[in-house]
Amino acid sequence: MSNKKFKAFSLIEIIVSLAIFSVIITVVIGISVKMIDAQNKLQAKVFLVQTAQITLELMSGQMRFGYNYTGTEPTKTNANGTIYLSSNKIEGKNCWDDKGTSDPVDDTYQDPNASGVCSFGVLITKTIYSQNLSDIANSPIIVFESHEGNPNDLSDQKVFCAYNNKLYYLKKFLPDTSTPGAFTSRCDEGQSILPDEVKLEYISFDVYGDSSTNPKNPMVRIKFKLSNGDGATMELQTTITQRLVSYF
Amino acid sequence: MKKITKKIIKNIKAFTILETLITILAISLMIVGPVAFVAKSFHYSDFINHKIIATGLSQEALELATSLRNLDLDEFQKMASKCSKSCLIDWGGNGSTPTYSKCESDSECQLFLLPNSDGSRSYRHIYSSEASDFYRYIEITKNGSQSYTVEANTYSYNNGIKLEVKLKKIIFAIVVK
Repeated sequence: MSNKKFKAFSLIEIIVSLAIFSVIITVVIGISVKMIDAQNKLQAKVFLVQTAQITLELMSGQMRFGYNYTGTEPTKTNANGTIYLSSNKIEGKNCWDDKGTSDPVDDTYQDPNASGVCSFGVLITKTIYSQNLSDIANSPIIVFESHEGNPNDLSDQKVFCAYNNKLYYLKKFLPDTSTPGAFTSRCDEGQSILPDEVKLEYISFDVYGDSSTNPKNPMVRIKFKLSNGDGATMELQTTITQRLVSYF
Repeated sequence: MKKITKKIIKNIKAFTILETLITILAISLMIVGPVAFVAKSFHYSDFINHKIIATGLSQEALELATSLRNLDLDEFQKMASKCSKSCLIDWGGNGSTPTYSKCESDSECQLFLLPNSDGSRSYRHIYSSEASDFYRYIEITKNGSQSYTVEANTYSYNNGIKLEVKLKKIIFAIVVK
């Protein structure tokens, strides 16, 4: 008698309701997960973009008011990150094989990765004490004097260099005790410009500053590519002309 | 029989059309709103991405024009008279001076990603295997006899929308010694 007063859902109604509820919940959770993932990717991408902008500004700003730009051939990979600066070639340390003649043109450059040839495995950049600029395409490194620097001192040369997919700004060199007149530093002793989350895919400089062909118009083209762990990449390029009217 | 049917119909309780529509609308907003927000954010991020690359390329065009002035004022003035309307400007790298020529359509002003020997790539006005998303030209206006206004315009298309970065620079007609 009392059972007749209770109204309840039938089994079919409950099953259908549960099925609909499950579908809706699954869709909503799926969308939420995708959205969180997308949001994280978006944040990483925005971070990459901001990093690229700051990096470009920093490098352009420093180089624009610098002078005496020097690069090196792209084959001279920075194998172990050590950089030597000297007004002359340093036998062994710059991986040059001296053929014994007085003419350095006879010497051949050795692959720093080859065993037994160049134990230092270094990149050497020959920088000079006076206005002696160079033309280099696709240099992996750039060495220059800052506008407040002393052109007769190699220890205060500024360098942008890459090592282990990181970009460094090197500001100071110390005398190489084993080689008179040479200065040395490790690339990764410089200030790291990129955050850990951002990887430098490549950096390359075109240096146009040869005093014989381009005495009053040194230019540097900067090309680099950044990426993050989520597959976002950015390839940037700009060119700067020197702003200094006179050097000395 | 008719009476019974009417009674049954009267006893059935269902949602009204208004309730149903409001429910569908609310669920749709719950799902579509956040998705649209994220999609818009991605679009905006792409926009900023393109803008920064385009800024670098426009800056480069201005620097190349300045460099031509520094190298040879006469050559720069010739360029100015030729480039009152869109001209491309390009630089081949070390050992060469910047070059310019008329470009009047997207295909003529497009930048390509030229592969280099070291694995890097350069944005150049030279056809290569991969076209970049960017187009660039400069326009030069003479301001009396003393100076020129150089406008560099780099643009790209993002989902059919044209994104432009225009930079201007006044270049004085002086001989750089």
